[in-house]
Amino acid sequence: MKKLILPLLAVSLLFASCDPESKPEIVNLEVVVQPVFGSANTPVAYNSQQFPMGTDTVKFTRNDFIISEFALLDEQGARVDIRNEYAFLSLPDRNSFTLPTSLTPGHYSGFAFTVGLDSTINHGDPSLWGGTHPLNPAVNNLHWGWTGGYIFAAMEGYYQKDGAETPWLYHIALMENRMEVVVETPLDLTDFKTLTLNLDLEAFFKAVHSLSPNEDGDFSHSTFDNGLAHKLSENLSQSFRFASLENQTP
Amino acid sequence: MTLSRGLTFGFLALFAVSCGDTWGKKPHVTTPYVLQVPTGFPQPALPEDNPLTVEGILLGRQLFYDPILSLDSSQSCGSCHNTAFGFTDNGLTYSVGVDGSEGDRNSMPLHNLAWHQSFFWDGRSPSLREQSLDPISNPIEMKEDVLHVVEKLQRQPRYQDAFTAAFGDEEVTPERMGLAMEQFMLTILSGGESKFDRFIAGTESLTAEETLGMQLFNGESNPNSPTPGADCFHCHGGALFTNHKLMNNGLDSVLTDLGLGAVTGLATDNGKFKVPSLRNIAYTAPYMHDGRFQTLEEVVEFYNSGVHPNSPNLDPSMVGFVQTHSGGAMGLNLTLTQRQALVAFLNTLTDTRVETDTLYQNPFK
Repeated sequence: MKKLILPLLAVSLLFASCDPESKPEIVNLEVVVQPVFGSANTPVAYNSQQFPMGTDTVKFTRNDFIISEFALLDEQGARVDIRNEYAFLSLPDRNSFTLPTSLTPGHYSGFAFTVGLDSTINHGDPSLWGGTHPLNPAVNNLHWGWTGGYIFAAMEGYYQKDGAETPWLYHIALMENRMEVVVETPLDLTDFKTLTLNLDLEAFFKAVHSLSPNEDGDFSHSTFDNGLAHKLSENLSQSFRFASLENQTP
Repeated sequence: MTLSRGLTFGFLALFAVSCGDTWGKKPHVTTPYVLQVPTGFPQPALPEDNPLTVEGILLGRQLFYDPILSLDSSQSCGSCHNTAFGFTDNGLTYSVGVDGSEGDRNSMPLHNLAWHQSFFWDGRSPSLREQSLDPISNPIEMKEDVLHVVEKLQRQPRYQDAFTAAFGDEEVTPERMGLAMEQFMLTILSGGESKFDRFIAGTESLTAEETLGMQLFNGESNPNSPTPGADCFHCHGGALFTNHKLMNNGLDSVLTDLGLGAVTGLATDNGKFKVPSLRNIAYTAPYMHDGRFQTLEEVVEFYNSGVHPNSPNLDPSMVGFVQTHSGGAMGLNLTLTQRQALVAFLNTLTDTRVETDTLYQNPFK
C-alpha cells in the first residue's frame, strides 16, 4: 500500500489542478490604463493627434504617474487596502501593473488608488528603492532631487498659440495635490482578472474646472501658478473610469 | 516493475542527464564584483545576464585600451575617451578616425553608465555591449572588421588567458568582447567625492556664489515667482544630474542633425539628443552634441537667452526658457552675477576620481 501512496498523490494533484471549476484561494489583479479622449473613448495617438480644447487644439506627449494606496471596495463600499504597493505609469508604453497574488477572491464594488504618495514615502530617501522599483528615480524620472519629493503626475504636450505649436507642461506635486481616485463598478474578482481603466484626457482639462493652456496658463510646477495645479489635480482625480474586466490570458 | 519504482528510476535518470555535462569538467570560477553605488544615487538596474566579475572587468578594460581594435592598431576606445578629460576626447569638438576622417558629434563622457537605458547622442544603441562594438566598425572611427579583431585577439596569449578567466574558455567572439567592455564601462563612476557631494554629506560648505548657483539650478523659471530660477533641474535633476532622456533643447530653429529622428525615422523625434549628465562637466568641454560651445559660460548664456522657441519638437520641459518675463525679454533673464553663480555651482560637480582611480586607467601603461 505504501508503494502506491506517492503515485496516487501525484495523480490526485494532477486532477485537482486541471479541475475547470476550481477557484483560486488568492488572486492577483492586473490593471491596465488606456488613454482616451472624450466620452466617446477616442483612442489617443501621442505626439501626433490634435484634439479640440476650447479655442485651442492640444496634443499629448507625456502622461507619467506615480500611483499608490490601492484598495478594493467591498460590497458595502468599505476599503480593503492593498498596502505597500506602488506603480509607475508612462503612457502609452508603460500602461499596466499587477497587484500581488495576495488578494482575497470575491465580489467587490470598486477600485481605488491615489495618484501620488503619502508624506513619509514622498519625502523619504529615494536611493533606497531597488533598480527596477517604480519609485526608483532612475526608473520614473519624477523625483525632484534635493528640492524634495516626487512629481505625482507629469502631463505635457503642445497647443496652438498664435498659429505656432507651443509646449504646455503641468507637473503636479506637493501633498495638497495628491489625487484620490475611486472607480465604482461591480468587480467579480473570483479569479485572476485584468481590469482596464480609461484615462479621459479631455476630462483632465474639463472634469471639474474647464481649463485650457491658452487661457489658464501653459505651465505649472505646482507653485506660483494661481492654483492651476490644484485645479488640474481635481480634474485628474475624476478622469479615470471603468472600461472592462476580463480573465487574464494565460 | 511497480509504478513507484518506475518513478524513482525516472527521477534518477533525469538527475543523471542534467548533471552529465559537468561531470569530469573543472568548474569555471569567477570573482564577483560589487559596484559601490555612491551615497544618494538611485540603485542601478544592472544587466542580469552579465554579472560583474573582476575577471570580466579586467578583460573589458584591456579591450577598451587596446589599439588592436582599430584598423591600423593606432586607436583604442581610450584614445577618444581620455580620463584626463572626463573620458572625452581631449577638448576636441569632433574626434578624428584612423584615416583622418572627422566625426560629426562630440565625444560623450563615460561615467555612471549603469543608469543609462540608451547610448550615443542619438540613443541608437540600447545596451553598452552593442554600443562598445559600434566604433570598431564605424568607417569614421576605428574602421575595422569586428571579425578581424576576433582573429587578432585569438592569436594573443594574453587574451587567451583573459577570455578563459572571464568566460571559462579562450574562445573570442564579438558578443564576449561586448560583454566584457560593458562590464568595464559599468564600473566607471562619478559621484560621492565632488565638492557638491561633500556638501550634501555635510562635510564641506559651498561658497555664497555656489549656493546661489545651486538655488538657481533647482529653481523654476516662472514669471509669477518672486525668486529667479534657471530651471536646470527638470532635465539635469537628481543625484545623477540627468534624466537620461532624449530631448530637443532648442539649439536650432532649422535642424541640420536630426538626432534621434534619423534613427527612428519619425519627424516627431527630429532634433532630440541625449540629455548628458552634468557631473564632471568642467572636464568635458566643448559642449552639446556638436561641441558648439567652448565654455560653460557660453552654455549658460544659451539657456539664458538663446533657446529657439520655434525649434521643431522643442521639449515641453523647455517652456520656462521661452517665457516672456516682466522685463519684456524672452528667456531666463538672469543677471551676470546669477549666470556666474550657475557656472560656479557646476564646477562643484567635479569628481577627480575619474582621473585618478587606477581602476579606470590604461592597464598597458
